[in-house]
Amino acid sequence: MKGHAILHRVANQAVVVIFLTITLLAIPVSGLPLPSIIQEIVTRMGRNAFLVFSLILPIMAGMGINFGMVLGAMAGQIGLIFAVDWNIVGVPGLIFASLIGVPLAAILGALAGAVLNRARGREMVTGYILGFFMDGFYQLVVLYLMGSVIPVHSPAITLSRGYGIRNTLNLDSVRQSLDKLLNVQIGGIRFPLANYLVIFLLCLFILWFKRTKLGQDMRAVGQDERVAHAAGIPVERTRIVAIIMSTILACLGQIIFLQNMGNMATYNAHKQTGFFAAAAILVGGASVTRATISNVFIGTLLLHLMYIVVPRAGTNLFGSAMIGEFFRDAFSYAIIALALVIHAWRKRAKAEQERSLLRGNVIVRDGTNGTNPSPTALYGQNQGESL
Amino acid sequence: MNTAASFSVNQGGSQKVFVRRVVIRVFLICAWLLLGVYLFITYRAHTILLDNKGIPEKAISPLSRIQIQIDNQKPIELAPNERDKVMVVGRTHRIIVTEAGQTSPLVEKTINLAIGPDIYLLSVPALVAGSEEALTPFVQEIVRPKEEETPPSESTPF
Repeated sequence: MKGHAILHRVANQAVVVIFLTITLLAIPVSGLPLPSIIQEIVTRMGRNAFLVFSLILPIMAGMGINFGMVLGAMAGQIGLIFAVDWNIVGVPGLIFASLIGVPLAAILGALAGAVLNRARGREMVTGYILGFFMDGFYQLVVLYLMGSVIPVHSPAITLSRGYGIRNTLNLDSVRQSLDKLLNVQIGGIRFPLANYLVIFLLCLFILWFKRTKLGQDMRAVGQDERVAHAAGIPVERTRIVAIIMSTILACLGQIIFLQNMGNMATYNAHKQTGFFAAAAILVGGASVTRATISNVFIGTLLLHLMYIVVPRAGTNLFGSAMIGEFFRDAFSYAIIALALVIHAWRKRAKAEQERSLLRGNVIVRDGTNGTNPSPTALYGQNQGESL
Repeated sequence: MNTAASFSVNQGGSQKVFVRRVVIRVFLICAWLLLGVYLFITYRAHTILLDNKGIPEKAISPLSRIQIQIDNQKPIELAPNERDKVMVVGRTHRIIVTEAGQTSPLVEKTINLAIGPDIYLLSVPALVAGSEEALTPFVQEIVRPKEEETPPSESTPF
């Protein structure tokens, strides 16, 4: 029975286990020295973790993975365009970009939330398509309206025809300004402490927020909307607030991400943001109904560890870096698919368990001593899973 | 009577909450805008082109080897007819011009930059001569490529 319990736990963390195995196998093949892997991981964690955090609140509110976070990323990019246009330098430049981006993200988040409320039960795919729709709108604004209708001060950032923003924007004025604000070297590894401080503050905020009335409402809505509604919680409003907060966090996360990169692919930088953030949180052991802070850290660490070692392992194994790149992309998408399949499978298994309980024919085991669990024990398990 | 009184009290209370909410929101919007304006004015960067060329129309000749220090930045040395550039952040800056090898400055002046222009041209000989037109906005001519740029289709790595 002990073996059964271990198997049950491994099955629960199947995504993490598969990913970890692949990555650990690739590390020796890649031939990369450990300090360089650690340095890359430290930099990438500081760069991407904030974006991944933006997915926690909608999951908590039972809305699944917010693929609509690309709306926030677009808002952040618009903020950065203005910060670069007016040449506002350093961290104040990032704050200026945030001051422009956050209200835009809040408006877009409210719109997305209203749409998702009308597509209840299909939030993820709706959010994904909403991202495509808003991408078209973003292109209209940045490619045609900026420089013609919306004033753009600097001719250096406009396209050759005189309006629209260049394909690649040089973020020299804000490049790595947050990374370099508190850069500490420990044992040959550079730590961008300011980035980690921001992430730490966000963790504290999320922990605090979960204890507030609104946070509790979100959890209640995520567990059971009908019960939450009966308890007097404004379900639709709570869901919209979750999406607004997620979109704002995505906006700030994209600003942090791009300041580290140092340049911005104006028309493409936001496109894959939602997908990679989703891959990261799922790799960390989260599901579409349950996500924690540790899932974010583990997922970002594992995903980027794979991004670092697999292309090099591909080069060493097959003599072509491109094969490694293909592996990398294939694994990222496969992991999202696997996580979604596992979630659907668990949901069906849970429904079957509940049906069996109703019939008084308990077929599940609690996995500890082989005895059938009491209905209360099972209720506790289910509740834990949906939290 | 009691019900009517409590209803009016409740109405008054909700009105108070509404007013308080509006006041807080207006305050937050104003603070948001003010912070934006403050950052815009205080942290906007400008490029200053330091020019040590003569101006024949005004009978101003270039200076011999000089050192120019702006704010607390590293001094820049210029030979006659040379140009260099320096980036400054904010509007008000202190400029000290010293002849190379000398300790006492030729001129020490505070300049105020307008927010609009990105680049300024500072004629150091004119500044030393006390001309009012030593600092002028510099209009950059952008040479645009002949081929039209279009957004690329590939995606970027995470």
